[in-house]
Amino acid sequence: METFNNPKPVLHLLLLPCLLLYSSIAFSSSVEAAMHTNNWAVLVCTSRFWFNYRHMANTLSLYRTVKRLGIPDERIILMLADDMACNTRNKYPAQVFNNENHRLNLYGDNVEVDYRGYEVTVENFLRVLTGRHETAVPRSKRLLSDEGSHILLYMTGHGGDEFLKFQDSEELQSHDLADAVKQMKEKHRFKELLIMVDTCQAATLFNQLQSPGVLAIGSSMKGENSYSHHLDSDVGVSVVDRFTYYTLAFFERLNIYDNASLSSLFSSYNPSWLMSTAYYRKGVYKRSLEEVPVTTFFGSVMETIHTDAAYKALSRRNSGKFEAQTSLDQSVHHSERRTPVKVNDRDETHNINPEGQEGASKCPWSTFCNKFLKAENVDSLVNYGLVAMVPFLMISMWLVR
Amino acid sequence: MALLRRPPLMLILVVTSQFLQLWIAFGSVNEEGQRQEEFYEELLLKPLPDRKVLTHFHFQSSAPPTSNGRHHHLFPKAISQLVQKFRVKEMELSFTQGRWNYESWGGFDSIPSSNAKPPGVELWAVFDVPQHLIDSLWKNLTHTLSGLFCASINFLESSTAYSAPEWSFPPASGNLRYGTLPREAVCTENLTPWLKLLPCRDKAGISMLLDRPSIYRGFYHSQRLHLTSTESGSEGMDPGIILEQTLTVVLQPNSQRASLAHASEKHFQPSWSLSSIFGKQVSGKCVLAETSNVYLLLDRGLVAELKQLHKENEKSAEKVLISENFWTNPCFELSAKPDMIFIEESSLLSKNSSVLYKFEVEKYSEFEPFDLGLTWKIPVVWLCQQAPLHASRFLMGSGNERGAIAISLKSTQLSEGFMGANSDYERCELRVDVFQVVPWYVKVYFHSLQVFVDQQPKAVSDIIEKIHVSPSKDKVSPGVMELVLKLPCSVSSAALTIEFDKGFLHIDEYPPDANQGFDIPSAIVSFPNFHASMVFLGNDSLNKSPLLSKFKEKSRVMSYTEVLLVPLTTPDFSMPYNVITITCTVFALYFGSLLNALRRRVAEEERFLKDKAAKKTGRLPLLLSKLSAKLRGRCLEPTHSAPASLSFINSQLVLKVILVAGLAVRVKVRIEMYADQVEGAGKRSVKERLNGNSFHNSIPRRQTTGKRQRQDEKWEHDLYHDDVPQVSNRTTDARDLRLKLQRKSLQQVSQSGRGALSGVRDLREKLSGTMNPWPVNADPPKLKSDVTKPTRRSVAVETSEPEPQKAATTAAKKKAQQKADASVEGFLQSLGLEKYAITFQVEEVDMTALVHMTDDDLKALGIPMGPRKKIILALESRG
Repeated sequence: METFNNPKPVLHLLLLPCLLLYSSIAFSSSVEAAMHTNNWAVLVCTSRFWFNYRHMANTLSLYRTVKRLGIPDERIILMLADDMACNTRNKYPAQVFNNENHRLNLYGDNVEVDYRGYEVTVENFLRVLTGRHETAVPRSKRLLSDEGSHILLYMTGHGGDEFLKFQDSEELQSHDLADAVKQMKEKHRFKELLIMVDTCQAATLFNQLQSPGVLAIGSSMKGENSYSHHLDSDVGVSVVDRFTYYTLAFFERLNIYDNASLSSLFSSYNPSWLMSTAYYRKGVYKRSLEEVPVTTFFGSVMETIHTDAAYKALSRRNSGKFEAQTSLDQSVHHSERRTPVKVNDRDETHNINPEGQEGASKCPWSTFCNKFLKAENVDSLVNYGLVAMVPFLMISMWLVR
Repeated sequence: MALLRRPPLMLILVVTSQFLQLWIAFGSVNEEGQRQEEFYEELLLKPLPDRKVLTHFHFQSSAPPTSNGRHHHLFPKAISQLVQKFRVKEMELSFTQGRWNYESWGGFDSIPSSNAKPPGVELWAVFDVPQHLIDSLWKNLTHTLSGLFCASINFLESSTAYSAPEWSFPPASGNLRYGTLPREAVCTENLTPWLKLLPCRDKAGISMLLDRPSIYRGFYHSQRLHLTSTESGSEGMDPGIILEQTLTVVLQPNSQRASLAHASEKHFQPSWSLSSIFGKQVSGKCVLAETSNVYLLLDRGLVAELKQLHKENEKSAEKVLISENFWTNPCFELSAKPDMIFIEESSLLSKNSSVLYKFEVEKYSEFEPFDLGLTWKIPVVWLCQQAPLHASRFLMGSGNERGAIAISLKSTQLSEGFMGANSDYERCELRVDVFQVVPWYVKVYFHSLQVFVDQQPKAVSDIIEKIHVSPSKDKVSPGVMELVLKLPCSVSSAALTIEFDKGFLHIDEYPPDANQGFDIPSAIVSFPNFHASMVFLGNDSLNKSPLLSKFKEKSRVMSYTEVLLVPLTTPDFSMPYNVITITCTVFALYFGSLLNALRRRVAEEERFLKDKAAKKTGRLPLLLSKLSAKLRGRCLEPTHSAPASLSFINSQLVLKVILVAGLAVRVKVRIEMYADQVEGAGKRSVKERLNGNSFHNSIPRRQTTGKRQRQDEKWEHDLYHDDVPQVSNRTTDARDLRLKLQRKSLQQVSQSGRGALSGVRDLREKLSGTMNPWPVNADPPKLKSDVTKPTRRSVAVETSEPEPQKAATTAAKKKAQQKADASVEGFLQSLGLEKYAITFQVEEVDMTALVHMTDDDLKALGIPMGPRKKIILALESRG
């Protein structure tokens, strides 16, 4: 209450809307210029029954690959429609192989299956993509991606012209998929999305996709079948599909530091090996595929920014707020003039320095500012507001008289 | 905080008294008298009569009630959060595969009565909240557990899946919820999060033994998690929690002796060791554990048998059993020396007592791992102790409409002895509790309950002392039946039967594999008069062991019956489509005839109009009538004579009859073929897409849609290719092609002098790096690599796979090869190094770049020395 006679609270009141405006602008700009901040993978095997062993092996191979390339388990949603590893028909309990030489057990000690068995339904799949869950659903079963996420969506199973069968009883239509992707885009659930489908006539599943930032690759064109690669006579069934097999062949040679591009992946599919034509659809994907390393989707490789000074590499949202706060005193005079569109570190340093020279009353002002900012609770704000009303009242009374 | 306010003298006293323990344990001063978090790990091994071994892992973590927030040292945080959030008083979750064999593995011990569980998932929880809040907490708990243990436990959230037993389930109280999922698969992904709750995971201590393939190869495995939260002492204190994790596995050791064909050898129990059944050894204890012990239990029957054998050998059995060198006795041999031997306190029920050997893992280290082995020297046959009655359950009746469930109880011979010892043989009564949950679609008629004792029907009121029934509500709640039976002690067999009708599910409610049938969860049969407890005589060290104190507890003898598989009427899922098409046809028939009727009236009107027009001779009406006649495709009949119109009607009638007959024929045809397509619809019907191969021949209409049929066959081919030998013409064609290709490749190999290519390995072998010796290959640098061979112009054809490659003529091939020399692939191929092509492809190296590549560059690409030199030489010679 020592500020009773001080006119500065009035200014402060004026400042409040400016501050709000700033922070909102800063926030919206950060949405527009979202950086790639995290990677997610949704891996779906939609086939039930033992003879579809290879579909589970496909999915688990991809699971292993993305895990190896750096996506952690909590960012992988793995959906397996049946239990092959501990199936009574499996001669090798708790093991799944994608190769007849049995060198690599895909079902190692640390597999985290998020949806399995009867839970793998079209409904749950779409819920995962669009993020519309019941409140009780645990975090491990949700796709908690944001506008900076790159998502890999891999699906395998039996499909046909514009549909993919789930569990032999349901279908995911190409319209459903396109709709879910559109919803995801509108909800800022991804920055870039790669859909990879290994089914018969896989390319038809992308027919309805329109959203920007979506890449799609399918194992076969319309009218073509996707075939399995080879049969394991010990397990008794085919253990891997051709498309996935050659995808893995490509990735097995890579480690997390390689920067092989997506186009080299896409061009590595040889139609005579696949016995089908791998088809990719760029749609409204802006970047050229030669520039995009495969690890943007299959790994978790972030762009790092080197900074000389400490604490400059704040996250964007924070820096936006920070700027709004530092420009507090300055904006008394020209609050309308400055509209920060894109915040970056250099701007910030510029902003701080001139203000130091400009504000003559900087020191007491800033201490007050700090005090004000420290008084976080709303009550104090209201009190200040009431106090600020008093001079207005007095002035108006005086004018009236 | 209270501590800090005490006088400093007191503080010093407290600190000094507990100085060592506290500082070593956690480096911080805790409250006085505060118990620490503790963790125990124990393993019990027990030979079973049917040549198997029971291994029972027991881990116990306990967190005392604390007020210092949510920090834990050893106790898993996930569990304590769960207890706090859902106010769980007691909870048990078990994942089981296989069936506990009560007859040969025993049913009276503590292990079967608390660790034998029904297949699939069983979850029960007691909540510490008012009744109306329980259901929502239960729902949230199931979801949380499903996330925690990677299982579909969340299916228990629906009210049709769980029940609230009133009194027959042992920890009976009103706040209990009980649910099972009999068909839930149990695998590694469930065990791993369970192990992650242990402070040492499976990295150290006894849990190191848990090798996943050996566990899941077992006959029975059940992982269980039981938690009890003790009452919090005062306000603001978090409750103390005791978490008990057990894993019970029944394994069959691989015995070398079994391979011996000797007849007498068959009676030998198989010898086993930890390393032979798990493939691993224990290298020291988990340092965070208070105690880390392995026990070997020889149960009463076995000990009695051994004593018998000793008597034959004329030795004083009792002494030999306890004596220090018992572990190298004439019956069997242990590979490690036990640290202690305990003998069970002889009870009233039996004269014999079991023997327990204790091994302390602490003494062993990585250099001297602990590996307990048991080698039998003489054949032994014994029996495990049985529960008083052996319970089994089965289905009766046939057909898809109704059936009956029968629970049969058979007296085990062993129990009679106890019965006689217990009390007056004639007057005594055997109390049996039965708890049975039936899903709502199995509609049980509780009035039809019948009781048979010794094959004689008895009045229900004579036998059943107490009954509680809550009938099922369709799609809301399951039926629950709780019974208390009082059977005479002399009973040799008893049976309960109850009839049911099979309900109908909505089409959405069928699971994808509905034809497999639906499960009725296990019934629980418990014997409240009998308590399994084992008290071992020994010093205080026994009390510290949670496993043995668990044995000491008097737990009710319980057994689970089998899960029943009820085949329900599953609809032919093509039915809806049939209905749609039939309805459409019926509608077409109806409206068609209606239209016809209307049209006939129009014709009459027309005639009437014509008459009128003829009278009027107006120009416009005449024109109109002409036009309409033309539209109808009939020439305007100038005559209006009655016979002519009569013949016209006749012809129309004939036409109509033909039309109706045609429609009828079509309807018939459609019904026969489950009309797979609505006529005129461009797309294939869903039924056809789903199940395109169910009807092939005998439908003439099929022939018209040749294209579709082809697609169907393709579909089928996709489903079954490579797995099923095909019989259609198409595949024989393919086989022909394959044959041709094979022949071609052979020819190529023989023609081209380059024998090197004939032995090309399958790509998949190369990928994983199997090093098969190449039969003909004389090209050394090719041998050591595990890379793909990406060249598309490779002459090699995978002979094992059908490759529908276009067979290029040799001339074209030569041409291609010349052209290929300009590319990296071609270049590499000319050197026989085509397997490295993908490396260059990945790094996007083209020919111009390759020319500028140095030795180091190639090394950076990961190309071995030999090929590297070759490439450089070739480049130099070119350049």
